Amino acid sequence: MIKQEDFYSKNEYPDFKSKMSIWKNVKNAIPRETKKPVLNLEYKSFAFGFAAAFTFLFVCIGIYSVVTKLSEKSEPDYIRVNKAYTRAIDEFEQTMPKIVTASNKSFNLDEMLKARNANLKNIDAGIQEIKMDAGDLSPIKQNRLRQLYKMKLDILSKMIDAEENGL
Amino acid sequence: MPAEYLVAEAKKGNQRAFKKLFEDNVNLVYRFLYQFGKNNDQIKDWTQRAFIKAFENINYFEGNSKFSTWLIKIALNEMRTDFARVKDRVTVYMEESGYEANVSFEDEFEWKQDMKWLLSELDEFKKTIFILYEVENYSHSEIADIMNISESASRTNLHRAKTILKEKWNENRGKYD
Repeated sequence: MIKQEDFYSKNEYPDFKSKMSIWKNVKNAIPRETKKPVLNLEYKSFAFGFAAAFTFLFVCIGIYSVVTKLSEKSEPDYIRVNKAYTRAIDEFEQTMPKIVTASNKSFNLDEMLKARNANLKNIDAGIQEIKMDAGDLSPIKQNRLRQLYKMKLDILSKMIDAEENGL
Repeated sequence: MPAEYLVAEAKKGNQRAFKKLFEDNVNLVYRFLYQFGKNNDQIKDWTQRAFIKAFENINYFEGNSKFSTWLIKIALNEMRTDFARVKDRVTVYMEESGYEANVSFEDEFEWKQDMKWLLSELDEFKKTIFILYEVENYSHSEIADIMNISESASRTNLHRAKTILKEKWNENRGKYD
């Protein structure tokens, strides 16, 4: 084999000017590249991106749910019971506005509601007082809290019954 | 950037990719054609025609060989078109005797640039095979593809070319001793 540097001399290579000239002629002879508009949507990329974003969102939701469930399971029982009471109370209280704002309620019902609301306020104050205690609740306080929850549920239940019975 | 990627892009009409292919291969094409041209303008013309033809036909390039091999083939055809047109072509005797002698070129002499004149002893056909094999390091298989000949014809004509050069070299040996 002959080495290329031994065979070719420098003048047998195109200089910069020659290369530019050759390329210019080549470029003029070949079809111009049609430039895509900047805002032209790459539909495939868009669809894949959308799908990826949705998948990522659902994965995040899934991970969040799993982590939440796992953390809830690791909570002490009394906290889980308290949370259950709170959820039940919230559900009952959501039905209350219908009764409270009903314009055709009777006088008796109205009076009863006022009395019950006063009771509820007292119970809420007691619940808040216990909850504001920092750190773990003692068994006595846990019991007291549960009693307050039961009383509140009881009152709410009676209020709903009173409205249903047309009091 | 690998040539395969550039070729794929050029097939989509990407001029920038083709320009990169041009930059990577223009030296090879130009210096090869230089061995057959009469002047710089003719060589430039062949070179640009080769690249234009390559772009126009790039979708036919299947990637079975190197891009540079395919390009040299196109360049050679462009050159031969002009030779045929002006009836300037040397009658080529394509030898297919199948005889292969083990001619060791390196043992005979050390190639020097001022030995180029030796190549004038060769016809265009043998000269092409000699340069592609000895200088550009193409295999006989690749040369066969470039020149549309058999591998056997490539081997035979290379051997013949070396024999001619050796004979000429020996005749003029005194000048270089």
